[in-house]
Amino acid sequence: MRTGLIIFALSKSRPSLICRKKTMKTMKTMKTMKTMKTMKTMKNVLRLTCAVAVLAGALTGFAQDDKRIDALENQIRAMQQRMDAIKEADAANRPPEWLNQVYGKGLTFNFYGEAKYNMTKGSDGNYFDPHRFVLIPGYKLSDNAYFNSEIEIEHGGVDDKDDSRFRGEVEIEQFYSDVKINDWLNWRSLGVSLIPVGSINLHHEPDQFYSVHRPIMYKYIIPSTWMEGSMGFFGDVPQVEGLSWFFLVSQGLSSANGTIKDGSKGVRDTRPGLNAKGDNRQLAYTLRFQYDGASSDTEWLKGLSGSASTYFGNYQETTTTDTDVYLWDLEAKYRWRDGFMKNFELIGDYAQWHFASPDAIADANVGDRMFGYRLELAYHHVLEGDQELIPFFRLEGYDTSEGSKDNNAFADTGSSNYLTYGVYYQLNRHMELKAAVRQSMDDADNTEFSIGVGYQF
Amino acid sequence: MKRKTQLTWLALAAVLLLTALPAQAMRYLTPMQAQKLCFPEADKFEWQQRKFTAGEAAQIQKASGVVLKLPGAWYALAMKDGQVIGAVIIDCVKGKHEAIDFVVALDTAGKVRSIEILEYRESIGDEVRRAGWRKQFQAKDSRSKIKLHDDIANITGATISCRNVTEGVRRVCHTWQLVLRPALVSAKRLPKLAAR
Repeated sequence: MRTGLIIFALSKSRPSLICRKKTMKTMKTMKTMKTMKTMKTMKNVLRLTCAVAVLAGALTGFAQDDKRIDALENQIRAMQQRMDAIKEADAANRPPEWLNQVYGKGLTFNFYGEAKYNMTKGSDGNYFDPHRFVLIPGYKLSDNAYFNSEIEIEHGGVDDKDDSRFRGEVEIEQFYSDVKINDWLNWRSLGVSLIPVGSINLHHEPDQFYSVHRPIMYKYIIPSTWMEGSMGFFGDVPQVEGLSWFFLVSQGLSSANGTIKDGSKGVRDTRPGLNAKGDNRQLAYTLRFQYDGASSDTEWLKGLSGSASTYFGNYQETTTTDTDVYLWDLEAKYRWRDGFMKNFELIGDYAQWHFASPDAIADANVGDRMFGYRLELAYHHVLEGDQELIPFFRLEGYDTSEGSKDNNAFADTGSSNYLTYGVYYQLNRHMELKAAVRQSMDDADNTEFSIGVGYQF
Repeated sequence: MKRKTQLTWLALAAVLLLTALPAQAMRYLTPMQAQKLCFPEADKFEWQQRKFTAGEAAQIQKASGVVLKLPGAWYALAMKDGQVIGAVIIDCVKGKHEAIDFVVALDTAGKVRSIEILEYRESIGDEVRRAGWRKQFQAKDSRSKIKLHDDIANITGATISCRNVTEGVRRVCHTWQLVLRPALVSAKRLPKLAAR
C-alpha cells in the first residue's frame, strides 16, 4: 500500500519549491543568456534531473521493501511447512483408530466346561455327567485394577423341587479384584479366591490335565476346586526372574458341614460354607512360591516349572477338641525341548496333610497324616495347526489313613492307588477330546473308563 | 490364636498402607518410549500407517498361520543419518480376557531385535513381561518357527498369553517380510535382500 502511494506521488510530481527558487536565481545570474529557448531547455533538464533523482531514490526504496517482503514470505512459508510437518507427525504418532477396535472393551465373558461319560465297574454303573459349565466374567476396573470371577454350574444345575432331575450345584468359584501396586506386590482384594496350593487347584480348565477327571489327589487331599472367602498379596520376587510368591489369608476348615474322614472324603467336607455364620472355623494362611524356568538363560531350565506351597490353619471337630493342621505341596514339571526326549513331559506332584493333635479327629482311621501323589509321563505328538495328540500314563493315589494317633486307637486302612492312562486329543486351543482308564490297583470295582469333551475360550 | 489375630491385623494394616501408595498402571510403555528403548541409536523415527489389501492380508495369514485381526500396520521406521536401520511395529493380541499391546523391533533384514509389552491389562498371565522370556525372540525372523513349546518356552500359568504373544510376533515377522519391507524396497529406502 505504502509503495503504491509513493508511485502515485511520483507520477504527479512537479518541480519542488526549492527547485523553482533555484531556477529563478539562475535566471537572474544568467541575464547574459540570450534566448528564452535556452532557459526552457535548462528548465527541462532540471526537471528531468529532479524527476530522475526522485525516481532513483524511490526505486532503491522499492528494492529494499521487496527484499524484506520476500524474506517475510519465505519465513511464513517455512513456518507453514514446519507446522504441516508437526501436524503430520502428530497424526502419525497417534494410534490409528482401528488399532483399538479389534478387541472388545468393558465386561468380558470367557468360558470353560467339561462333559463326561463314565463307565464304572462299581455301583455307579454307566452315567453321563455335564460336570462343569463355567462362566468367567472379567472387567478392567482401572489402569491398575482388574476384576475376576467364575460362576460355576456343576452336574447340570439345580432345581428347588426335591425330585428334580437337576441335582447339581451353582457356585461362585472366584470373585475378587487384583490391584497392582508394583511388579512385586499386588493386592488380591477381599472376595472368593482359590487356595493357592497345587497347580491343578489354581489352573483347572480341562486343558490343564490330560485325563478325563482331575488327578485324584486333587479330590481327596487338595479338595479341588478349593476356594474360600479370602484376601491376600502376590507378585514377583524381586531380582529372581521366574520366581513368584502368593500369600493368602482365608477362612479355615470347619466341621459344620462334615468332618475329616478316612476313605473317599478326606478333608473335602470340611470346606466351610462361604457365608456360614457362627461355625467353628478360624482363619487359615497359605504361602506359595512358584518358579518357572522359561525366562532363564540356561537352556535346560527353560522346560522346568515347579512350586512349593503350604497351608496352615486350625480345625475344631467338637467344642472341646481342636488341632492345628498343615498342608504342603511340592510339584515339578519338565518338558523336554530338544533331543530324543523332545516333547516328552514329566510331572511329579506330592501333597501331605499333617494334623498336630490327631486325637481331636474322631474317625479312628485318621492318623496324623494324609497324602496324595501323582507321577505322570506324557508325550506331545504335534499335528497340523494347533492339533496335538497326547498319550499319557500316570501313577497316582492317596492315603487318608496314615501315621498314628497320640492316645486314641488308630486303624490304618491303607491307601488307594491307580494307574491312569489314555489319550488327549486337542482339536484346537478351544476344544479337546479325552479318553482314559483309571485302573484301581487295590479294588477292581473302583476302575472306570471315561470319555470327555472339554472347552475353554 | 492370639498369634493369628495379630497376623490378621498386620495384614489389614498392610492393606491400608498399600492403598495409600501410588499404584503402578498396567500401561508400561508408550509407543514413543518403546521406540527409544528398541533403537537407542536412532536419531529419528518416522511413524507410518498402512492398511492391508485383501491379498496382503491373505498372504500374511497363510504364511504365519495366524489369524490377522488388525486391518493394517502402524509402525515406526528407525532412522540414523538418514538411513533406515529398522522398524518398530505395533501389534496386539488377546490375553485371557483383554488385549495385550506390544511392539516388535526388527532390523532391516527382518530379524527380531527385541519385543516390549506396552500394556497388559489383566492381573493373571503378565509373566510375558519377564525380560528373560522376551529375550527368546531375539534374532528370530520369518523363517523361524516362533512356536510355543518349541523354540519358545512356555510359562506355566500364563500359557494363553505366552502362546498369543508368540503368534503375534510370528505374524509381525511375516508382515514385515511380505508387505512392509517390499514397500520400502520399492520406495528405494531399503536394498533388496539377497536371495534366501
